[in-house]
Amino acid sequence: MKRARVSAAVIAAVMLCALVALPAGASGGDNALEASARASILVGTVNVQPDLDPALIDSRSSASSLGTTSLDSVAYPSFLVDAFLFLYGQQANGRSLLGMSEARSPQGPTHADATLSRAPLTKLGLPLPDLPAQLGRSVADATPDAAAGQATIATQSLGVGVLNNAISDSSVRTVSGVATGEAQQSIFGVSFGPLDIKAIRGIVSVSVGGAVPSVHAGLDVIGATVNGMPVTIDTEGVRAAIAPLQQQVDQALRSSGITVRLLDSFQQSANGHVSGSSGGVLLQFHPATADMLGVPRDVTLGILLGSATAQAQATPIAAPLPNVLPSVALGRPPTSATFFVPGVSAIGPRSSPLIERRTIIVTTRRGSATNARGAYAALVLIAFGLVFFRPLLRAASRA
Amino acid sequence: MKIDIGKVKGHWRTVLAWLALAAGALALFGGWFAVSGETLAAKQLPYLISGGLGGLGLIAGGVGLLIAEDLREERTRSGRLEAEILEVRDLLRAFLEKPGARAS
Repeated sequence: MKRARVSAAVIAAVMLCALVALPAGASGGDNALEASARASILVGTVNVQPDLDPALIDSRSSASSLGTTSLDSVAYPSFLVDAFLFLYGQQANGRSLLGMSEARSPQGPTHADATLSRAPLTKLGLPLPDLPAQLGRSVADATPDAAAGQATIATQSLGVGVLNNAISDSSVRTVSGVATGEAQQSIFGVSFGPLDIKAIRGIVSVSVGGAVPSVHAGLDVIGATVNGMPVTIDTEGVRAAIAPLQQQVDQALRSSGITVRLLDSFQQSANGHVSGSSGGVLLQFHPATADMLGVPRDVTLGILLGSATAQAQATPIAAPLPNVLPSVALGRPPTSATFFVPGVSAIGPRSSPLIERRTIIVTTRRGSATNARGAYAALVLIAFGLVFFRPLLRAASRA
Repeated sequence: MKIDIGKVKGHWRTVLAWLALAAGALALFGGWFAVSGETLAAKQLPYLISGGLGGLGLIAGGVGLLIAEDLREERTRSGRLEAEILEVRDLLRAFLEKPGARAS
């Protein structure tokens, strides 16, 4: 009898201690989690932010409390073009022609594969153009807690150069109170004029909401040569591995009109928000061109290779919210200073990072959030009652 | 530690009850931990039903078995007492019916 009472008391004490201890460990669940990741080869980024950003081999995934999505494309024309196609009801077709796949959860489709983009044209009996999707494939998957995608090409000629075996991956997760984002952009074979690079890999991973926020970002450039002379690339430009050859390297690049430099990677973590970027290898071309009237144009074309960015954010739900939320800075996209504006010289590296602005729309009023924790606590209390029911019954029978 | 199988067989209700209680407590805390990690009510519901209601059911079953064991012990004890009383009654009756017993 006494042993039973002691056992019941021990069980009750353990349950109480655990219940008291758990809410602290579960504080991550009180955060609104958001994560996004992007890996891409940015081409000719026009300096109109935030979204006029044509890209190749583009993979972007994002997750928030509203859902998850992954948009992966062999060629991404830019947000404005995409929105134009959407407005005129042509988004699905336009996207397949560009090798774009988009998966969403919970709306669906939860799986998309743009490798099949030839099929509609074949069925219509139309001639098969040289579609971007034929050069590679893009796949996207989305679940309630995670989204991931990949875009690949075997070979892509850009007129000024050739890219081989480019792969962009991105993935995000919001599981157990932790938001993570990962992106990787790899190219195995770059050839632009005298410049050859065997491999470029940009990688970034971020995590927030757990015990310690983490962010890792890095860029590897392997086997860079100019006219066969081994070189290294840094933020200042190209350095010949053999110093006496520096002049020949500079001459070769100058005559081909190519400028090459590295964009630094960065890692940032503060106030529940982490972000990182691998930076990338920025190639700029200065072709001497003229417009239709023969007037010389100062045009710079830029390509950012190995660009991977990711950001994750955990915002406490209980935090007081202002009535009107201002736009908040959530991270910065990889930058390249490239302009197509006639008569305007290329501007050098930006002194401050570009800021991607996004407005958070809060659809739930503070304090009115309903969840199952109250019901669960009631169940635990009932369980307590049951555990004590037997000793109480015994005590009552003796009274 | 050597487990006496015969003893365990004799108290199978108690053993099963404590196993059910332990499993119920585990289910409750596992469910609570999972629920606390989710912000959306829709994602919390499966844990509420599986961990919460499941754990509650196991604990109710365990407590029920313990009470059943208590009742069984009480019944055994009552039966033993009844048998002893009957035995005493028989002995008393035999003693009273013995010749000369009243005189002593």
